[in-house]
Amino acid sequence: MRRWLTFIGSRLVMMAVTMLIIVTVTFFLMHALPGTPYNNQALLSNDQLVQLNKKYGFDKPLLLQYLAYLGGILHGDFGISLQFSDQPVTTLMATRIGPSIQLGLQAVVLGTVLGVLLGALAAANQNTWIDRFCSSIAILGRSVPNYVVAVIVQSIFAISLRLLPVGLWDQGFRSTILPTLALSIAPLADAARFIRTEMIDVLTSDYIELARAKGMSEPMIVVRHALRNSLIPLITVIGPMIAGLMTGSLVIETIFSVPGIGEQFTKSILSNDYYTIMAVTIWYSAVLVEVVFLMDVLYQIADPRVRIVGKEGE
Amino acid sequence: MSVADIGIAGVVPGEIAGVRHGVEHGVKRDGERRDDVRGVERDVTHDVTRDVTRDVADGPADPAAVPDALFVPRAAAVADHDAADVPHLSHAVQAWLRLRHNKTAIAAAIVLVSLFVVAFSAPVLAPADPNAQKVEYANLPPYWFSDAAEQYRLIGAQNQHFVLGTDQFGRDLLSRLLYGTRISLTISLVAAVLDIAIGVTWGLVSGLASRRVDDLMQRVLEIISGVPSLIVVVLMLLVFQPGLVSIIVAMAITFWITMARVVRGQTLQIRSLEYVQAAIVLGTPRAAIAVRHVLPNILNLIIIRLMFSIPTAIFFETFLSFIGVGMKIPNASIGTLLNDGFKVVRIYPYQMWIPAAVLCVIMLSFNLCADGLRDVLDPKMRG
Amino acid sequence: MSEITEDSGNVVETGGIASGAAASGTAASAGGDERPVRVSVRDLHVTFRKDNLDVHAVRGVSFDLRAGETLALVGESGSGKSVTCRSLMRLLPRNARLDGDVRFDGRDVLALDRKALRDLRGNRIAMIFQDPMTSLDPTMIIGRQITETIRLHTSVGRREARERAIRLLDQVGISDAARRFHQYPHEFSGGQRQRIVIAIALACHPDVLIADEPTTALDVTMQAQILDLLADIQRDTGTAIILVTHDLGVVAKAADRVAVMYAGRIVEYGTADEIFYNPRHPYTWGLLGSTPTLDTERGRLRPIPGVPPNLAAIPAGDAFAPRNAYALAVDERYEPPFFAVSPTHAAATWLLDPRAPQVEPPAEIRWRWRIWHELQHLEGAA
Repeated sequence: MRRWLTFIGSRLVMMAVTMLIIVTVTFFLMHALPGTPYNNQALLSNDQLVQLNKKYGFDKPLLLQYLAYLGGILHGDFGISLQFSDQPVTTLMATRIGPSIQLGLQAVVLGTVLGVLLGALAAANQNTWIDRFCSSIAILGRSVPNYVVAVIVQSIFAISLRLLPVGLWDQGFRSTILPTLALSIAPLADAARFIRTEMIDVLTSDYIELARAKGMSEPMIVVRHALRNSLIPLITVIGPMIAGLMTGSLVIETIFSVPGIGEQFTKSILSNDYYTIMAVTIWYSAVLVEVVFLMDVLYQIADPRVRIVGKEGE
Repeated sequence: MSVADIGIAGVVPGEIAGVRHGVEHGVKRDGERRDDVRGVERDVTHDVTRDVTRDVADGPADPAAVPDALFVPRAAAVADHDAADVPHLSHAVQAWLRLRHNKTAIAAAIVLVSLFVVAFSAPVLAPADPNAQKVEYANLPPYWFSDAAEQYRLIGAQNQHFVLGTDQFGRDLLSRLLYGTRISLTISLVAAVLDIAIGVTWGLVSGLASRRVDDLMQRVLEIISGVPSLIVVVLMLLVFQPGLVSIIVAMAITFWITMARVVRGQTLQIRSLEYVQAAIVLGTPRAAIAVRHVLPNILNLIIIRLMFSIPTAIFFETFLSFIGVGMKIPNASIGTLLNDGFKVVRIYPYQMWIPAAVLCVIMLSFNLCADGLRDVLDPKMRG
Repeated sequence: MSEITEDSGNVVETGGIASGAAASGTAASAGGDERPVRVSVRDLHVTFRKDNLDVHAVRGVSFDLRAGETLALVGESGSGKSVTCRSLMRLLPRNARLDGDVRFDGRDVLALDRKALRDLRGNRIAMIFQDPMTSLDPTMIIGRQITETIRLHTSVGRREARERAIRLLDQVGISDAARRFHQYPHEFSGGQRQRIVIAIALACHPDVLIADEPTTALDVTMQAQILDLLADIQRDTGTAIILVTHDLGVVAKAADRVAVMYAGRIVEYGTADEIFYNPRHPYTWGLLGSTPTLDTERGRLRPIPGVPPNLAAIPAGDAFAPRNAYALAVDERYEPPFFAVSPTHAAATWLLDPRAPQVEPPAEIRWRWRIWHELQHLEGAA
């Protein structure tokens, strides 16, 4: 138990440091941006600029601005959006986090489940047509960018067949199907490849041979021993998978007009919306850092070899 | 295996020169029982060397069929050779021999090479200036489309033959695609090489440095990897303004993390090998150890990672253009072509699907090649 | 010297009768043994297809295994001993082709369908592997790895399976079994893990236990304990054991009969005494000469020169000839048949042909022969 506490404690400290550095770097990077964050800067006179800068506090020394920003974050205040009629960024994002998380979760679950299935099937039937088929799907998934997939499924299911909505977020679950599908391609391909490699390795191990010698059938061996042993290391790649998903969500949300964080980010980038860009950056980093942390904990729990236990063999 | 099965022919005791094989080399026929492949005579009056591969189907000989004269100590000495005498093929040759069997990878490699040749011959092959606008020719479909002739005629462009059509500014899409592919390939190639170089250097230094330096470098890695790479690239591009160089730099400084981790792990492993430990104890400089011991051992890894990094970089380049921070107009890259095409995909689908197809072919070829290379270069992965 | 000649004389005499044994090439079980034959292997060939090459791992192996006895398969790595015993339960990779006849209690093992094969594995024939550190599933408590086998082959309930597993753990010498039932493999030492693997193998009271280098990965004291454990089990349950090893020390301690393998063939077989004190095949001489014994003088260990042949391109004649200092011209062209030395002992070497010249084996082998001679003499007197 004490080792658990130290483990989690040190990881939490590390996470806090990481976040602080990210916030700092983002802040100073944003203030190094060329141009102004105002909508119609070409039309603004110098006087108006000074006025605006004063209004938003951009005339203060950078360090003060930085400290003010840090203080604000601690209170959940991420500044105001300069593009969206001075709304607080927090309110702006609050409504958008839900769809993004739902989409992300659905895509991760769908992608990994299908990917694990494909990878396991391929590994269990190594060098047969099943393997070639599953591996081809995985390699296609890696090679066809998700926005191409998005446009394809959109054209087929929404525009040609009119089965599902083209975009927006107004039809409940039905609205989520196509974006989820497009977004799940990458985790699917990653998981399939990872599990195939891992499982082929596991399937040649001695304990699988022993399971065969016990008289277990191949499907039983795959389910009882091989899958369990290949799934544990999969935990370690969930973090990078989530990071990839964030990238994907930017375009997918834009293509399907999903009112999510990703779509917000693309808009903010194009309009130099300082505070929103920073907030989204911090949000994404926080999610990633957290996911990595959770996966580390999960790995500790799942793998008895690294599990933090007090006892050792005699 | 009974004696009766064994064909005995022409055994003349004592006539060494005319000894015939009592047990014959059978004609190899898969699946047939060994007993069937007997009875064929073979003359062995000429020298029988020991390295003659004998068919395993042959069983023990019948003593009665063996000439007495052979019961003398043999002339040759004991072959006290060891494994080193076995003809040794270099790694590269072995890898090539294995890769040759992977037809998919070979096909992908051929496609890739052709793509490179075509893309880098863009100035020669392109029928027009990729950035030359001619608004009256806007949005013309490829001339070989069924309804194209009519459209071409309507705007008085009967003598024009746009192989892949034109975009909204009347620019020749084939030329733009050629130049765009060249740019995308250049970006991804340079970015991948840079990212591998940074990663390898970082990993080597970290793996060979003192514990404290290694720890520090590890912490830095951990923090950097806490930021989604997408965000870093986008921020970089916002600060440095999109363009060829800034895209390359942004991607190179983001993607090296994985490579650094892998190389560090490998370095630590190789460093713990006894002969490397010995070299360190003998005072060999770290740089020499890196070059002499570590690098040759991770060469395979570097090649494989490079092959996987390039498609990732291509994807990211197109992705950046897609969200609007990629190559600056009017320059074309596959990403900008896709983005432009996407905007009009409902009306002029060819403007998106053609670059999309090219992109997929490139990605697929790289991935297939990389997979093939990994299979032959990474012994752990071989089935 | 005279004794040796006399011995060789025996060989010449029996050489004639040997043709019968030679023809079937069978490492037959001891004459007069009334115990039932559990496993009978005749002319087993195993070929692996790899990179368009046929690797002939086993080339015509025959032997019988009777209930309650221990047969050791000895040889260098790559001699086909492991493949041979895995063939008994068809535990071979997909690219393996098996030919010949393998019978377990009269049933044709090579003809069994998958279901029947699974009923055999772990139930009637069980196996112990070389490396106890890797042969247990690291992510599953050891108790479940035992009950898994029990519940696979019997219809006992969860609780009863658990009780049986705990008894098994107790039987193989794991103390505090009820508690350790719930532990993971990494919480056990190498020797304990091998005991657990043995417990798994014993779970269904198998008729045949295949132990593939069961002690190779263990230190010497552990080796002795594991061998004792196997001997105890055999005494208690009457299980037949096939012991695969390259370690003649293990053989001397544990085996009733020994078959020496080289390049996929049995080259000499006999009772343990016959192999240790009256070896006839130059390869056996080499093996014995390269194994330290208490009597080995300083610097007297002689490794066998050279390396085993490439099993994808086995040279003509006797596969051992290139490394054999006693090779005859005939060895380079003709594969030697078995020449019987006694009803239980035969060796496949042309040196036993009446026409072969008398060769003088290494001093250590002559020393062993002398012991054998005295043993025979004593027995004759008694």
